[in-house]
Amino acid sequence: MAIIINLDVMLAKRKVSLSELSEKVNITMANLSILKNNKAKAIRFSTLNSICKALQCQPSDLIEYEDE
Amino acid sequence: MKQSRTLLFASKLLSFIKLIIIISIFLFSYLFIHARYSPQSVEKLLLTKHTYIEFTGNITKIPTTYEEYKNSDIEGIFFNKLSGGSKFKIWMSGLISLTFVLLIINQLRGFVNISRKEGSFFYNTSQFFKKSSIYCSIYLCLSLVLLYWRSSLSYIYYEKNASNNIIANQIDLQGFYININSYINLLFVILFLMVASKVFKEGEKLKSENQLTV
Repeated sequence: MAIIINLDVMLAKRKVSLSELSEKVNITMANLSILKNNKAKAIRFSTLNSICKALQCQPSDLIEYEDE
Repeated sequence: MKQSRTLLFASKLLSFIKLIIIISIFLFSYLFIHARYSPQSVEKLLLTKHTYIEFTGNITKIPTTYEEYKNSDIEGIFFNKLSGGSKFKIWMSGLISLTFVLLIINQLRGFVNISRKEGSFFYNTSQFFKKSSIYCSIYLCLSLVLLYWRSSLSYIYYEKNASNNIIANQIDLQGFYININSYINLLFVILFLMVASKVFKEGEKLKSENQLTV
């Protein structure tokens, strides 16, 4: 897919583990893994809002478009 | 809970139908083998114009010559008087029909079982409809061949002439009753299965998208 999720990059930048983020945003590890591994088909605004709040970043830091 | 119970009932019912069909296949084959070795036991077995097999109890005298048969008011043909090839055609056509019904029932059973197990109608279910439509299409094509087969059954009467030689009267039963409606119905079933396959495939796609939405 041309849309890339840079969750792993942001987690590394903020030095936060996936399990810590999972606790903070109240989303299961399984769902966050789907997001991190670019397997997700869609993302809810509420999820994006929670992740941006927890990682102190903008949606553009997490989502990137790459021409195929 | 109610859905699960309905699906359980459907699964049991389909298993029962499957068992009935398997028994029918064996009985059907047994009948033909039995008729081969013990023709006197099936002398009252009559094939009606729809080529359904039935035992007749109201025939007092079975025609022994072709002339007698032609002059009698019996509607249908005696199984024993058919040629070996014709018997084989009837046996094969019956067997093929039952086998395809069995295959389709099996697919429906698979669909019900997977839906019951997963608790969803959209988990890998479109393949059952697709396979069923393929089976129906093959059966429709084979039916046309069987139709041609059944329209050329041979009826043989062995009669002794003056010099004690056996002569055979053979006729082709051309123009045998053909039920076109059943083929049209089968076409509608194929169309329905194809549409159902597409609908369920779309459902599977939406379900997978929904599952992968975070």
